[in-house]
Amino acid sequence: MNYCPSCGTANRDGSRFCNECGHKLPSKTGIICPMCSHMNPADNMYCDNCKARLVPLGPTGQPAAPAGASPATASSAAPIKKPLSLPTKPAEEPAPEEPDTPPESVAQPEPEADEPNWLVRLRAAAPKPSEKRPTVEPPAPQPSSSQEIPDWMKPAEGEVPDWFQRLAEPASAQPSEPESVQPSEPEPQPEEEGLPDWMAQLRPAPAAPSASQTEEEQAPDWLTTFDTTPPASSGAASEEELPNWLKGMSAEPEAPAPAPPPPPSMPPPAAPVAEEEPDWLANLRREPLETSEPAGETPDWLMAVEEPPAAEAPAAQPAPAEEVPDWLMGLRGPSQPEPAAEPAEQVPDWLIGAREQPEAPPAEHPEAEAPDWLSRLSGAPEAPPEQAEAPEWLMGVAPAVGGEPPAPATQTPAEEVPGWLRDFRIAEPTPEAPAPSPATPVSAFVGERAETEEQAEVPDWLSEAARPAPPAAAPEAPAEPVEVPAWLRDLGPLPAAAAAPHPEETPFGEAPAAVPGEFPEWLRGQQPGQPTPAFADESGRTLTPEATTGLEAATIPSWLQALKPPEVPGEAVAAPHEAFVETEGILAGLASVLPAAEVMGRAQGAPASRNVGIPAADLARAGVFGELLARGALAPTVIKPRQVAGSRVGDVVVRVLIALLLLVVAVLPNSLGFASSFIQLGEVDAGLYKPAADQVAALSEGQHVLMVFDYDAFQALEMRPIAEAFLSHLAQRGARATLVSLNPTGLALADTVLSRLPEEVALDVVLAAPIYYPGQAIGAQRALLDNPADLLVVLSGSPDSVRLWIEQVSAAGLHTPIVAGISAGALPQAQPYVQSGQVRGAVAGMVGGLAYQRALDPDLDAGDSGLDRVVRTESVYVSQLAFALILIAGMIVSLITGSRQAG
Amino acid sequence: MADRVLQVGLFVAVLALPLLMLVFGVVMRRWRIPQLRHLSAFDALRGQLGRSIEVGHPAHISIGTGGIGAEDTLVTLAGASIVDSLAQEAADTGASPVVSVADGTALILAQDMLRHPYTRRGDISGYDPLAVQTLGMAPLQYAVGTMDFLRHSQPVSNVMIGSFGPEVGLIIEAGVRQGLAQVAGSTDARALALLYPSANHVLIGEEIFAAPAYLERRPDQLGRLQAQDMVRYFLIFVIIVAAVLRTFFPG
Amino acid sequence: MLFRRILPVALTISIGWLVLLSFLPILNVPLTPVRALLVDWAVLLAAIALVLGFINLIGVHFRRIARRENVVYSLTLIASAGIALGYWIGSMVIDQQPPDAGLNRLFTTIILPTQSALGMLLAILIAVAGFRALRVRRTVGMILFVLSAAVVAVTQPVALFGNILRPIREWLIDPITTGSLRGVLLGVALGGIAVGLRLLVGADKPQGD
Repeated sequence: MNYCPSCGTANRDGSRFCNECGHKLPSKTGIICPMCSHMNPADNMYCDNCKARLVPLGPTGQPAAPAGASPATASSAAPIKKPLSLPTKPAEEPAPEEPDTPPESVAQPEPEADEPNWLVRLRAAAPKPSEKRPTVEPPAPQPSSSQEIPDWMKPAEGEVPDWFQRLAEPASAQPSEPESVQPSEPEPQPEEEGLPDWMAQLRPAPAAPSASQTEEEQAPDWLTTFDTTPPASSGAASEEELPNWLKGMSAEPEAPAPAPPPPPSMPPPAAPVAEEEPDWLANLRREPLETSEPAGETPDWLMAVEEPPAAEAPAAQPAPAEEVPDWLMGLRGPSQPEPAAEPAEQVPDWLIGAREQPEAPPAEHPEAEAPDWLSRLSGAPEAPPEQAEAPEWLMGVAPAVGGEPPAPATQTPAEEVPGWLRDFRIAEPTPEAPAPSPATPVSAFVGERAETEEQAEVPDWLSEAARPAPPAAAPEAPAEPVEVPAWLRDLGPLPAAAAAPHPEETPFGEAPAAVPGEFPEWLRGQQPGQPTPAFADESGRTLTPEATTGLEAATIPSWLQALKPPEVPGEAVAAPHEAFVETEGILAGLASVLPAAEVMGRAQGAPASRNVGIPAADLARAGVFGELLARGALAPTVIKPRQVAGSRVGDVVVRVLIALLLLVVAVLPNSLGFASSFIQLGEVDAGLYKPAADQVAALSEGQHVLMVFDYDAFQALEMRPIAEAFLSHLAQRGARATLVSLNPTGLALADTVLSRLPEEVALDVVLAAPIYYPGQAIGAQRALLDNPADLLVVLSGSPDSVRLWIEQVSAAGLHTPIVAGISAGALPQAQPYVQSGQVRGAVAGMVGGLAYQRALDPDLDAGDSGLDRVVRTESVYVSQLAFALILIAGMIVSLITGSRQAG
Repeated sequence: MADRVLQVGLFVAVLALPLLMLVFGVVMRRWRIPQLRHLSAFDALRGQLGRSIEVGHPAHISIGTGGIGAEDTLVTLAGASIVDSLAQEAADTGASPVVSVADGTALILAQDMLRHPYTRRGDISGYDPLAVQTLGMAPLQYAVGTMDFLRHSQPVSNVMIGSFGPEVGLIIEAGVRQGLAQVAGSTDARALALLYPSANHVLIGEEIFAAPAYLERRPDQLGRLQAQDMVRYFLIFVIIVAAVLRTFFPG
Repeated sequence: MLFRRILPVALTISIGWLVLLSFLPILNVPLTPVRALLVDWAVLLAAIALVLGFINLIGVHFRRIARRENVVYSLTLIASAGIALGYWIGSMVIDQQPPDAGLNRLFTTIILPTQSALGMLLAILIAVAGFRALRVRRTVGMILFVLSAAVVAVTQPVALFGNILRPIREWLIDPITTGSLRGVLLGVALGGIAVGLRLLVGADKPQGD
């Protein structure tokens, strides 16, 4: 129910206005239109404002069940959605290591029945593994890499698209592709033994010279990880899309795009043997992203960074990928399977440009404008050391580059560096640094340090990240220190091994302080999906997740478990969009263009839990409501006549008695003729007629009088004596009158008056038939102009008519005297005009008219006709008196009864 | 002397009124909005169309038995201004009020006002010419026709603001018997005598001329009200002075 | 746009000022004939408006018949209008003059009695309104009761307490009622002047956009 904020009346849901007072009601529940954000009642199919569809079409093309439908119909209409299950503890044993071969599904994915069309198309358009694609080789898989992901990240069985599954697979499952820009295969680094496999896999592959690599030897690794072959369909378009700074890094040798130098505090992107690449950064270039991660700590961006490097640059993929964000596409390495490849037009410009300049000597300074951080990504020694801006938190985790300790800068306050990032501090390069791992998408992003010394302007931190660990296989990696940007230097150096502990709250208690490049012991051996093992902190004590202070392993409360939707075992979730083809609107014919339609059309608010039992009565009501809705608009409310107070039998009797009394009083004297016997009429005030009579008396013979009949039919009986008196008096004076009316009925009223006069009187006085002048005030003007008169007699039942004629006479510039015959009810309002002299005289009411008549003819009441007139007149008076008495009595009774009720 | 004072005062008031309307219109636009005296009739007016939408019955609006060119032209125009104020809301919300008249000129005026919002938006399809109904050609005939309309159409409310005579008592009584919410206003004392005890909300005299200002709250309309009030105070002062002069200087 | 928006307003303003100025004697311009011409046109338009009102009335009742709403009343109205109209047309065609006598008879036998009855009903309703006022608004109802009783007592012609009540009426009731009515009329006049002025300057445009 929707309660009116003004009067508090309860109104049905969906009402926009209060039924009682009409106040606009706030919308509490309903469906927000996705097109115009208008709140609609929950049972609307279409938006009231813009007529957009609110309830999406179901799998069969029929509208999905509205919000008010019964659960049975709703369940049959809408597909079953299985949400993700809540996180559970991962399995103890790690999953077996998978070989580093690309999954077959990457090369030739079989379209599954439940896959959306866009995915199928993407997969079909994905380049085959046999295609020559210069992509980064997937890094060597960690022996202990686990295929498991936490349960909380696991989607329900059967719901996981292949591309997503492939993302979770280690790089060892990725296809190994002949790469021209790929570094050598990742070699397991002895110093990586302590690293989690998934992180070790992220190490960039050591730079390996290859054919295309020769060509691209000047290019930073991060750039060479992308498809160097310009895509046929998108080359031109991509070229057009390149920013200026990146256009300089195009394929033309004369316009080389410099590889950005690596950030000063980041490991060099290339593989300088002498320098040690931080493990975490090296790992960024390696193995494909695994969806499993230590619970709670790995941010999403890092997860994205850890994607397998086998992911191909999406430039060559014409298939549209509506769902895959650009950043994901851009971060994929060459070995990454291509389920979500983007068309060339969706690849970031900078990425496309980088792709198209495989031969660009990265060491050359860009003639075009390129950001410094990008130019330093390639680790070019000649690259001008440009200090790029970096957040301070990043400065704190970036070690010195090239062996140079970063400029001592203000240590970033611990509270400014995210805790998760503090754990991943880049370690100082150590001689034992492992060999650079194969290039990873991150390495593709940050860029490996080119073998040559010429590098594009790449931020040092980025180039450092791309810089593989200094293995012996990368002899050409320049060992020159990379300029550290000031913002990174300002973060201050981090102690290599004796980093001050940064006590912080973790789910596992105080995490031991980690220096850049070093991982805490507990993290080294952690595999995604594995439970956190016991670890020893600095003090040597062994900590287990359960032994941490304050926090317990998360357990799902029973009430929450109860709300968990039931899982449908063994059934593949029907792809809601597979068979869905839009049939109307501009998207007609397109399939799966709005896969989120089902979500968009849902009513706001918490959905009902299906685990809750719905009473049969509610179901029945819902069914009835559905039937009413199906029938159309509800029948309008019928306003029943209000029961008039007092409509009881007793009141009816009283009314009948009063009516009989009035009838008797009015009829009896007239019938019996004895009214004047006991009723003495009061003396009539001469002022009621005399001034007007004097005006008429002042007329001479032959003068013209304009007589206006401007009253209604129900006032005819009251006004008739007045009209008769005036006409009789005019006849006596010998004046002639023109009868006019501003109302159509006035003509008939005038005729009725004339018919009661003696014929000779009527013929003598009245010049012509009554005339009707429409337009009220305008007609009055016309009448005055057409009929110049010596006297204006206005017979009116309302003071407004008198006022109108007064105004029009003045407006016409006439000085015609005005006399009025007015009903008794209008006299008080017309009195001011009489008193002011604008109206020379007025005859008021039937009493005044009769008095006027008697004044004209004292013998009027003589004879039978006179008696008849008197009796009728007196009966009127008696009736009037009786009515007055009844009125007063009724008021007294009402007063008394009202007091009783109030009391 | 008193007469001279009255004449001069009236002359000054009539001349000053348009200037004051202009000045106060600018003042309202720039500085402040005056605090209007609360009139419950206008509060009730605002909710009528909304109620008609929810209930599914029309709202009845009557602008009186007068017409253009009659002695009550301005009163009829005042009633029509209420139709004008409600017409936009009616067009926007899809409400379909029924406007009843008793004169041909008032019929044309009301139809034009109801049609305005539709012509402005370029879609005349939503406009119903028979939304304005002539229920009678004379006051009592109109009253009988309106009584029949109220009984059979069962509107959610009965709004009667305009030129009425004593025949309005029939309409009011019919509305009372049906339990309608009734808002009425008139300048005729006989009509007011019948309206005041029976209608839910009554507008007396010049309050009906303030309808556009109360409903729309435009600065120029509020300025007009303020100017009218100023002139009224001035006239009161003049009348008092004239009365004193007449009392103490009858010559 | 010119015809729909500007022309009606321009016509209204110009004609209004023309007629207003024609009433001012200070101007030496002979505007009276112009005013007379305009008044004739206005009378013609008012007559046409009357016919339009009649057509609208018939149209409303035809629609009610089509919607099966109160068919009997609407049929009666249309039939009676048709009969009267046909009678008038026939008289004009046959007798070359309007059937005044017949129509008058029709008027006096049907319209006059019914409207008189309704007028009488009005009197009853006034009393009922007074009773209702007494119930709904007690204080105001009491005042209404006392004043109504006094006025009825002094205005009825039967001389019950005429000598005593007449001075009360002359000194108390009449001044109060007349004064209050004058105050209302004054305010109405001021409001009317404001409305008229706004029409003359084009601030209010009831005739169009």
